[in-house]
Order: sequence, then structure tokens, then C-alpha cells
Amino acid sequence: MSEIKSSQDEEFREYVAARSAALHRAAYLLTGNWATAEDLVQTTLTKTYLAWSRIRTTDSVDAYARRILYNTNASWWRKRSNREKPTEVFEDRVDHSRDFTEHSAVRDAMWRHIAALPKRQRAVLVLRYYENRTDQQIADILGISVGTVKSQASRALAGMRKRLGTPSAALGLTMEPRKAA
Amino acid sequence: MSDDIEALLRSGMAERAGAAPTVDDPGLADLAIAGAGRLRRRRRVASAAGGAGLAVLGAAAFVWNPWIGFGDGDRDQMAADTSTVEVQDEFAMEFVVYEDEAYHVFNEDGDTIPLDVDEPTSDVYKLSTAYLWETETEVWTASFDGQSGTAVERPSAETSIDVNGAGDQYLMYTPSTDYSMSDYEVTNLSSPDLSETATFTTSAVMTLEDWDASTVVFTTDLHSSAAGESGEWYFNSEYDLGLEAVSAAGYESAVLVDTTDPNFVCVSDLDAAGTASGGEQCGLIDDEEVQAQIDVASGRNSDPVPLVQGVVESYSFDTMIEVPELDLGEYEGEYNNASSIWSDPKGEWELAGNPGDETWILIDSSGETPVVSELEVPEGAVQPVLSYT
Repeated sequence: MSEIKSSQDEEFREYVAARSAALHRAAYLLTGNWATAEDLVQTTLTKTYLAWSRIRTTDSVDAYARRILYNTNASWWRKRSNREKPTEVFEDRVDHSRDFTEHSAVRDAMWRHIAALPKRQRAVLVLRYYENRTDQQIADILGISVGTVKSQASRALAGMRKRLGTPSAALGLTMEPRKAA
Repeated sequence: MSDDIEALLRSGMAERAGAAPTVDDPGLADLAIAGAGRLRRRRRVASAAGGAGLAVLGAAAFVWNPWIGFGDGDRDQMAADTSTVEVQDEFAMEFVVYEDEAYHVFNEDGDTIPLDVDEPTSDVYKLSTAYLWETETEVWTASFDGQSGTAVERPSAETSIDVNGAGDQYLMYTPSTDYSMSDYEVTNLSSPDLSETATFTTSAVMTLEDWDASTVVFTTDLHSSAAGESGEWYFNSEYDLGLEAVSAAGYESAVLVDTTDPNFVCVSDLDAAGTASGGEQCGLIDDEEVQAQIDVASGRNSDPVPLVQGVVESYSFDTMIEVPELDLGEYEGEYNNASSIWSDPKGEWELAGNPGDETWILIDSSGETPVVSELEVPEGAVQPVLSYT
């Protein structure tokens, strides 16, 4: 192995060591389960390494990796249909130290809604509310216009308001439907 | 309310991400390096195999010119262009083009059909008898020859459109101001002058997924209450779902599909005159008795079981087949930088590109293995037409 390649590989290892946890967390929010998140990050890192010689000296390594992460996630499962489909139900990582509260019920309702969102809307929410990116940054990462970012966010929030706007619906505290005897 | 939800999102996501398992895998980078090496080797093998001549890939019989050149890295790969004529022949693909300061459909026969619109703000669909598209203020339909068109005013800025799976009807969906209810206006494209419309308002806890002339299929949360227990339940009466309005709009039956376990469905027998059955018959979609209930409830005026099964399948995780990792080769950058990605409603192709560019990336999914090529699009192409025909 040449010294140059060895050096580049070492830089890549340092990058992975520094950023893989953050990539995993974003992937976890995007996919809803840890196994898929790990696959997504591994694919992302492989693609990033393929481009490493081009991007390693730039300031945009992380932006490149994130674009790969989000676009790879969007492309998975795309073959099935033109309609975006929800992935599997978000894994419940129950905090047993806490009672079931209104707070957690609303959160659960929120995650059920997020799990059913089209992938691009979910990506916009993760970038905006988890990574605290600006709309311009989100547009750059996802390769879409700022207008599309705004409209996707608006649709996602409207759906969430629709779902969570009624407290009974959000909390699942409405009257239980009777079952015939 | 929006601020509340945004705050909930911020805190919820932070909490969720914080609950994720800790990553401590020192071999992660080396796995990626090894994986990249395998990808590069696979590309070289493919290049060598392609060098012998032309390879016909997939059922669509696109001619995939050999990758040429050997050597280092990704730059040496070349994929053949796919022409507009080829995708017109193989997929009946049509395009929306901007030419002479106006928008047109460049159809599968090579004819140009004018779209009487300043600028479509959505995808353009080809349905059973008409093109369909949206502007900021209106929903348009136009005949295939472009000679007649109809515009319907969008009830609100939040109105969106959807098309049924058969592609013969479309709807306008408008949420109520408090987002607790959903207004639907369904238009049957086979009716004269598009005069046959059905309107109904239902609870926002349900989402209309697909429908035909007699049956509507919603998704909603049944699991929280029924937990998969078969039998007669009373979701409509207890939750005020509004199925009576669906009945009054002329539908014979409504089927509710559970979003948690989509195999669990509930059937409401409507009378198409404003009355819903007292309770809903619930069970698994694979159960012959449930299928018979769906069939009977529809009045046997259509074939509702496949309609319901389509919705069930679309929500079933075990049928969500992950696309094999597709080696996009030299097109990876162009694909990832594309501003738009369009998918064929029938699932045969996907396009990634930028409106106005001379070429887009085509992924042909019609065969067993997806195939990537560069598609030469008509001059001024801004998007493909998404066809349900």
C-alpha cells in the first residue's frame, strides 16, 4: 500500500471515528430502527470512501456524507411504488423508569406519525428539528429547492397538527369502541 | 400550535436520538474501505464483461453499450445513452416540455399537446381519459388531444390531489381549519364533462388510500383498541368517523385498514344512501370470511378485495423489498445532485434529473435487476408524465 493511500485511509478512519455516532443517530431517526440505521450508515461510509480522494481536502466532507445518507435512505424501497410508504413501526425503546404519562403518549403519537411520513418529509423534519439546519442547508443536502423544503415541512407539520391537534386523538384517550359480546 | 409541535419535534428527536444505542465499532471504517474495494472490483469485472460487445439488459431490451476502458477508478466507466424514442416505445413515456414560452406534453407518439397553464406546480398525471395537474389555484384536467380542458378551483391553499390506483378517478383533499376533519371531493373521469363528483367529510384520524366506484379504503389506528381481535367492533359510532357521509356520497362499503398491523381490517356495510352499518366486521384480510364480507358489502358491483389487498400490501413491512444496492457508477454524483426524482406509478422506472437538462438518469426497474443509463430527454423537458394507463 502506498504511503499516500495509507495516509488517506487513516484520515478516513479518523473521520469515521469522529462522525459515525452522529451519522448513526440521524440514520436512526430516519429509518426508525437500529438495524436499518446501521446498514444505512455502512452504505454511506462505503460511498463516502469511494469519493474520499476527491473530497478529503475540502470543507464539505460531512456535507457530502450527509447527502449520501439522506439520498440513500430515500432511494431504498423506492422501487415498489410511486407512493412513498412508511417503513416499519418505530421500535419502542420504552423507558421503564417512567410511568406512562401524557407526555409519553403524545410522543408516541408523534412517532407513529413520523413513521408514516413520506421519506423526504421525514428527512426535512430530521434535518430541521434534530440537526437544526437552515432551509438553505437542507436544500443543499437533499438536492432540492428551498421552496420544496418549505412545502415538504409545511405538509409534514400540517399532517402532524391534524393528528396531534385533537388531544384525545393524540393521547388515545377517546372512548374505547365497544366490541360486540 | 405550530410552535408547540415544533418544540415537541425538537425535544422528541433529541430524546429519541439520545436513546439510540451507543456506537463503538472500531472496525466500521475498515468495513467501509473493504466494501469500497469490492465495489470497485465489481465495476471492473462488469467493464471487462461488457467489452465483448453489446449486452441486452432486462426485459425492456435497452441497449447498454459496453463500458469502455480499464484502469483506475470510476472515471473509466461509460454507460450508453437511452434515447427518448426508446422510452416512448418501451414505457410509453411522455414528457412535459417548456417550449416557445408554453408548457406542452410530448406524448408517446411524438405529438405535442398544449397544456393551458402558466406553470404546473405539481406532477402531471396521465389518467384513464385525461391529463391531470395542479396550479397554485386550480386543478386541471385536459383531454389527450388537448382540445378540451376543465379547471376546478382549489378550495384552499392546503388542498392536495390524489389519484386512485385504477387511474380513473381523482380527488381533492382539504383539511378542515382545525385539522379534525377531512373534506374529499372525488371526480370520476369517465363521467360526461367530469360532472360526476362525490363529496364527503370524514374524521381526520382516517386517511383515504384508494377507492373504486363502490368501495373506499381508509387507513387508521385500529390496533390501539382492537389489538387484532376479530369480531364486530364499533369504531364508526364510537369515534364519529363519518362513514355515514361516505354512504351518502353513494358508496356501498368502507374498509378500514390498521396502520399497525395492516393485515387487520374492518368492513362497514354502507347502503349508499346515508346509513352505515351499526358495527364493523373485523378480521384478517387473508381470512376468506373477511374477504366475503368485503365482497358482499360492496354490493358485488366491483372487485373490492384486490383493492383492499393493494392498500394492505403497501403498508406491510414484509413486502417492502429493499432495492439491492445499485451501483450507479459515474452517474452517482449526477443522481445524488438531481433536484427531482420521479417514479413511475407502475414501478417500471425512476428518473433523476434537473428540469431543462439535456439528460437525466434512468433506472429501469422493469426487469429483475435495476439497470442504470443516461436518458436523452426532449429539448425543454421539465418532468416526465406519470401515467396510470
